[in-house]
Amino acid sequence: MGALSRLHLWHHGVFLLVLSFVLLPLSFLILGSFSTAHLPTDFSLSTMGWVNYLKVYSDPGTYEVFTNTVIYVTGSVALGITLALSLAWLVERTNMPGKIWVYAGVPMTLAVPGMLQAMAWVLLLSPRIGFLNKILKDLFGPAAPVIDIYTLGGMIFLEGLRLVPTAFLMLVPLMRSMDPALEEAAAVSGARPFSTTRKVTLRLLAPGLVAVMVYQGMTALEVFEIPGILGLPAGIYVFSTKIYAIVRSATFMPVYGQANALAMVYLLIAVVTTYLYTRMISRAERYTVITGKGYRPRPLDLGRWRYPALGIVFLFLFFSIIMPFLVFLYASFLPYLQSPSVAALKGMTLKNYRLLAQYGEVGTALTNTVIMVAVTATATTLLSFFVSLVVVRSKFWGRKLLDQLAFVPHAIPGIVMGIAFFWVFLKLDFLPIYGTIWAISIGFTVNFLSYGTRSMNAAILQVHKELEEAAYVSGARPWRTLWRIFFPLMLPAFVGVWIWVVLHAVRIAGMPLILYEGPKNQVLAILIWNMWDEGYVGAVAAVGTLLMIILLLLTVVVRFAGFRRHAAEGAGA
Amino acid sequence: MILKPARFFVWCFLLLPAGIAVQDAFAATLPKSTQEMLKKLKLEPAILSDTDRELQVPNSWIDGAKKEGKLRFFSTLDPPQADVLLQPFRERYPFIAVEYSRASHEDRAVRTLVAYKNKRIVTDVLTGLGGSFFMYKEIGALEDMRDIPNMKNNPEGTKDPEGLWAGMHLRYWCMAYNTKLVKREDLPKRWEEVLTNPIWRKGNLALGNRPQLWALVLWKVRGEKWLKDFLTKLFTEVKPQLRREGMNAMLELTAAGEFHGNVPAAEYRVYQKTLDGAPVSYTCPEPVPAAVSEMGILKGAPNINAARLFVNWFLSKEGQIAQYVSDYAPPVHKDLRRKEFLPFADQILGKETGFRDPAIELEIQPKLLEFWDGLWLKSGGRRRGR
Repeated sequence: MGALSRLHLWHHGVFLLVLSFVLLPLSFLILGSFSTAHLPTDFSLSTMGWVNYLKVYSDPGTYEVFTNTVIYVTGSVALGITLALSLAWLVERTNMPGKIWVYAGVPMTLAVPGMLQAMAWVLLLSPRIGFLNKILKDLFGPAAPVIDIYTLGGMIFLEGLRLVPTAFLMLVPLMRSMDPALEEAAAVSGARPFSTTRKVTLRLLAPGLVAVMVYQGMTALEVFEIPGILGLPAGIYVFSTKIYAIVRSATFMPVYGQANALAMVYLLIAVVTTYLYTRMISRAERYTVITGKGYRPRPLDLGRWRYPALGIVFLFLFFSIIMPFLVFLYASFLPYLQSPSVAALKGMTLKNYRLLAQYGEVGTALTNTVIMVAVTATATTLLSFFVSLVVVRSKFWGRKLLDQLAFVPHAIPGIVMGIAFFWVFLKLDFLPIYGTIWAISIGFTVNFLSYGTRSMNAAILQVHKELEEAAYVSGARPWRTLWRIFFPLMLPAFVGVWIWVVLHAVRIAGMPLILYEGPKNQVLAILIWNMWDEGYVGAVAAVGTLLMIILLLLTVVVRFAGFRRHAAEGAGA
Repeated sequence: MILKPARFFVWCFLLLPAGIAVQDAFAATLPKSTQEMLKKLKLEPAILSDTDRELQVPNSWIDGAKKEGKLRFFSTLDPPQADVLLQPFRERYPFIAVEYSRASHEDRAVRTLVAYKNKRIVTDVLTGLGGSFFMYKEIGALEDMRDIPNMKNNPEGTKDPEGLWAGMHLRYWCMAYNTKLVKREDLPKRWEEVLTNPIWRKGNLALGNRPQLWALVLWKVRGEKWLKDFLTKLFTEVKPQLRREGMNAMLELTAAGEFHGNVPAAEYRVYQKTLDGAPVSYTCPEPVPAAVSEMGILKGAPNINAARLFVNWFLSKEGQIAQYVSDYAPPVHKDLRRKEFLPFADQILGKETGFRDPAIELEIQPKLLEFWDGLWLKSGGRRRGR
């Protein structure tokens, strides 16, 4: 038994911390769903009842929301996985040229926040003023067909694009590590290449693929920004936006209990999916496709389709990164919203950038964002590491439960988690947290814990116990072992999780929208959301352009560092 | 003594330079920013001749404000506009550091109240409570401002009898339209014409989900039956686009051509947009729905003296002119209800006008919202979130 695992006290400490971070807000969420008081501060046992459930679940609109959500999630996952699988297959299993652009470019799409992507597509495909729709009308006259982005189809298209980079990153290793023997056997038996792909490759991938689909399904279910930007103006609700619509009120004090009652659906889904996902992962060894043999898959010759395939890849990158960026860049110089024309180009101005410079709130939001993101990323990384250490390395009685607890928040949308924490912070008002950026930071840390612990579990498994035991035998204290052995070996995992959290915390608006109190604790995502809502399109375009440049640079730095590390490892080998 | 014409002109000739000198001397006592504002508006300094009297307050307020040294203020002005507004105040009261925050209606009205109930006072002065005033009143969250001297400058109906709010400027909630898409002859002279002119059909008209800004007043002026008939026809026959965006966002979309026009739109916002060269203008069918934007001080505000000084200054002529220069909102001050302080005056003056007041807000608004929500939801609009 390793030295670290002897410290049962801190095992309990980590367990209790995660237990309280996850279960306390969820308990308040459940309790609040029975409260008829407007605010958590007014909550008392005498205000408990079934009214919220009756109100929410007797509303026929709720079932329409359910149908919309199912269509939206299924459609997005189908599109996203199909695209990601195609991209992964092209780079791993074919002789398509320019693969380096795909490896570098696809993850870069993570740098474009979904909210900004949706806004850019609104500017392109709004039925009457969308730049593309206007071009179509100019070309084919007023009777030209209109592409309407404010539809369920538009939401699916965009969310599908958004799911690609993560799915791609998950599928590439699956494709790469698959033993090609079966495919070769199929080829030898006379099967055609595409038939082999369909009947052998895809079937071999099936278990991993299902796990990726479940994960992505949960992500799509959780997403608030895209249905918020595209669905709300058209009155198309999914669960996350419906909950937001209940608590977002400009005239009345919102009835938070109704939002809680609706959120119970999510809680149910979270419990079921967590159970299914855990079961699936625990049975993964049945579908092992990596063997001890050395192998190198034979790339499929695409023949004359090599360059068209590359073209399709570039089209994806164009839609995901280049087009939103160009649209925002253009709109950021406009005095008011107008389609591209000579007159518009002549009237371009720096007014929006000047406005940002004068906006005191931009400075406050930027400072808040930097602090919030840095604290969240650090807290998530450290907490994930300690959770994973208990889960992977110890014989602690509650380690499996701890692992599941850490995973649960992934299946709960940020907006629901936001409401849950809203209850906690308002009800436990002796904690001076509500209305501060720490509230957002705590909420995000819990939400990102699932990703953090998945990464850390894998990374800790790669560090053999012998190293830890050798340090113990040599008389090193546990914390010294942590510092001298784990920290250097796991630095890439730490950096990876830290940057992943930064990239996500900076772009997600759902939870901060619930937990912010006013201009003083707003972060950049809220500022952008509010500015868009209030019609400051030019200013949103300016801040969006700058944010995209920063995030793209950050992603390039990470990729560059990653490539250098791989290159160094390759040279070392 | 009766002056002969010749003597009269001689006296005038002699006194004119003296008068100019006195006026110049008075103008020099005004803050520099105020002087520039008067120049910009081509107004004589004499318009502010009673400013010193208007700004007289108990010494304890000044001493208290000096100790506090700070004022927090939530409103809808863009920060550059707020800078313009606050410049004279900063010159007059250099010991008060004003912390201005632009806040959406929800932030101002609902989140501030949530925080207040959680014993957190996030601002000293807040504005634009429109439609949410009753919630503040219910929990006693507003300070009685009746001891603020310049409250008397507000005509009846533009301040709360209990002193809980004071009107800060006027708003005329009518209609904005795209000048490239709508001809002047198609503009409705009365609200009924929106129902009959086909130009507003096929989604060419956009409706915001804030009926309390305009329909409430139409209910007051024309009565319940008229309004219900009008709204029913509007939703079922005209079938406007039902938009969830804020009023400013709708205006932006009108300028871009997403729809031909939008209801409601305030004159000062449309005017600002025209200054950017956007192809929009403003029209007001009769009766004109008018309202005042409210300003209040949160009870228990830590900078209560600075807040009192600020509200008093804001309601003075100088404050009212400064707020007009900053965003073109018509002043509420009884001596400044003039054509030169009213954008699109030709669309407003001389027409039948109704004012929104808290009494109708408390009595009629719940009934209106219930009726409106029914039509809105049946027509596929988004619930306001009650």
